[in-house]
Amino acid sequence: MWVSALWKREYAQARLFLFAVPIVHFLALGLQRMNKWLFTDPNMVARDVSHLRSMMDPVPAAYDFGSFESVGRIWLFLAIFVLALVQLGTERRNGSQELLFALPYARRTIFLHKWLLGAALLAGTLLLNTLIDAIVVLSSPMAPYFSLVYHLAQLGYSWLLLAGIYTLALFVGTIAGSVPSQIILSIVPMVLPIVLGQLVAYSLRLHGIDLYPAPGQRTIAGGIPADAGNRLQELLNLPRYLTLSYEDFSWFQALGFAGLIVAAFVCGMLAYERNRTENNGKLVVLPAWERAIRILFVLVLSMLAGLFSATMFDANERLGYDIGFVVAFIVITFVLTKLSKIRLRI
Amino acid sequence: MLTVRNLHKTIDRRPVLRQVEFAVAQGQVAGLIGRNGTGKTTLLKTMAGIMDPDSGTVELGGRSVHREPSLKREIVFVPDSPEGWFGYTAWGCADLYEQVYPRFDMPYFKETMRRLKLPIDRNVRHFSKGMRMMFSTALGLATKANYILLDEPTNGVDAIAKKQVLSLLMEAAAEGTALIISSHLLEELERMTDTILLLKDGAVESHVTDDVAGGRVAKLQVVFAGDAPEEWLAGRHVYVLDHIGRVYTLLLNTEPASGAYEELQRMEPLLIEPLPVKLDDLYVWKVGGETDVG
Repeated sequence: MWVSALWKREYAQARLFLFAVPIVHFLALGLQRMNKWLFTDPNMVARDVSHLRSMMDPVPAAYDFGSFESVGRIWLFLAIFVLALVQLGTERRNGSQELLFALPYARRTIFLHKWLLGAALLAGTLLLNTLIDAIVVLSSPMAPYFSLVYHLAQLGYSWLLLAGIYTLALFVGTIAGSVPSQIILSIVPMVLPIVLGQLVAYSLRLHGIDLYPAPGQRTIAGGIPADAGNRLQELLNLPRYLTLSYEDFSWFQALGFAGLIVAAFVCGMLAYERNRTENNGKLVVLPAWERAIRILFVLVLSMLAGLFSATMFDANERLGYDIGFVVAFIVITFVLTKLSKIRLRI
Repeated sequence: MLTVRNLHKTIDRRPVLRQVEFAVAQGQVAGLIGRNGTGKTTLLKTMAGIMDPDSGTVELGGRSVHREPSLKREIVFVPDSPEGWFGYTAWGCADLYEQVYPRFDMPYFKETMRRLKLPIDRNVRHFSKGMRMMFSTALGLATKANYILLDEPTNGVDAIAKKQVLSLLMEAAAEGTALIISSHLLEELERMTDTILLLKDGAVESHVTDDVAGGRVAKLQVVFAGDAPEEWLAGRHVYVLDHIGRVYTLLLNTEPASGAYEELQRMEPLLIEPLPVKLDDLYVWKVGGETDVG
């Protein structure tokens, strides 16, 4: 469904991004390619080209294994993260959301238009800058190593990854009640797999369940492969994919990102539909999500406190852990209960 | 007909609206009154679909506004401050609304802005408070929607701006637009409205403006023979509005169950003179001196 009024409103809200993002992307990708192949000392360029000639598979090396694209993706990641904050977090505090909800459109339609703007911005800047990059490559000394497949793979991979992260940030925005809580709750899913895995493994080890395999051990309890934990952590570590080398791209990842887009989009739409404007300014606007997030926060922070206090009880690490865990559990539960009642006007 | 049925809304575990029921017909003007914090804004926002009710419905022509948001083409909410429009020029807002509301009257909007001496090309953020309210009201009325909900349209505006806003509203009412106006300006509401919706303890009581008393309350000037009956005056069916010397101005519950009027007659006062019950008398009678929402 296309509603020109909503599109116009979203455009007015994110106008700056529509102009700035393609420029920043160009500075990170096209300009860097020009610097390397067009604006550098011709002798050095000739040396690089001769080096490529001697390689079996020169394409990835010619494209610096995708390092320019990686930098571009990091900038785009920051841009869409801020865009998601502008589209959802900031409009909660200035009456814009109430204005939107008063309009004769379903909240699903409003959410769809918000997402479409971000997705279109990503697609636009990636298409435009891939085209510029391809033209730069074709008009440079590295033209013999031009690879359409490489450009298309980078384009598709970048869009799927960044659209996935953007959709996730939008979803978080639909449940977070303010800009600060949207920032915090958006960062959580990015770092959680890294932190949570280590915390759980350490906590369990202190209580007699060792997930760390002994040297040479191939499986742990239940026949689970010994490296399953690390592989799972790696799999869920979203920031890692921003800088992934071209050679490590896979269809499995593409499918995973597509799944993330669909799941985050559906969750975001459902949460936006149930948005409780009276809770704007709070940590979380939906009571069910607030409970879930509070439980997660209390558990993670209590495990962290347990970890810290265990290091102070050399004689009995487990006792130290348990004391730290219980004390932190009580204190953090109390603090979060107070915090959840506060409304922020930022 | 815009009908509110059995509306309940709880915010922060505090019941703000409880079993709210009323209806406003097309062309009717209703004043929404109640103490600060009683839930007037919550009620208007729920009617406009900005907030979802915990239970109950807001229906336009028998169809739920929350289930069919497209019905809101006929319901426009004018907030007490147009913060949501900051960043837009007045023209930009009108341009957007023109695409949203099918009967948006751009010539009316431009003419009203000209009449109110409001610059159409200036950012709404840079308008003064009075200018913002005049602009918001003009924008809302230009939609030509059948129902306009106004949240304290004269809040914080000077006397001249207030007069201009009210005259805009009266013109719209004369054209047949239904208005629901939340306000503390009881005198103005009494002049403009057909119905008064009094919000107290989360529920709405409807009163016809021409007869706000509705046989339920009487305003009397009374001079007692001898000492005033303090105990009777302190009773829950009597409210002392004024007391100068031996002359008391009272509000009396005249519902059959109260018996206050009969008691007064039995005291044989020197004077009982009925006075017309005004909206502010009703307001004082209904909401004066008590907490609003439990």
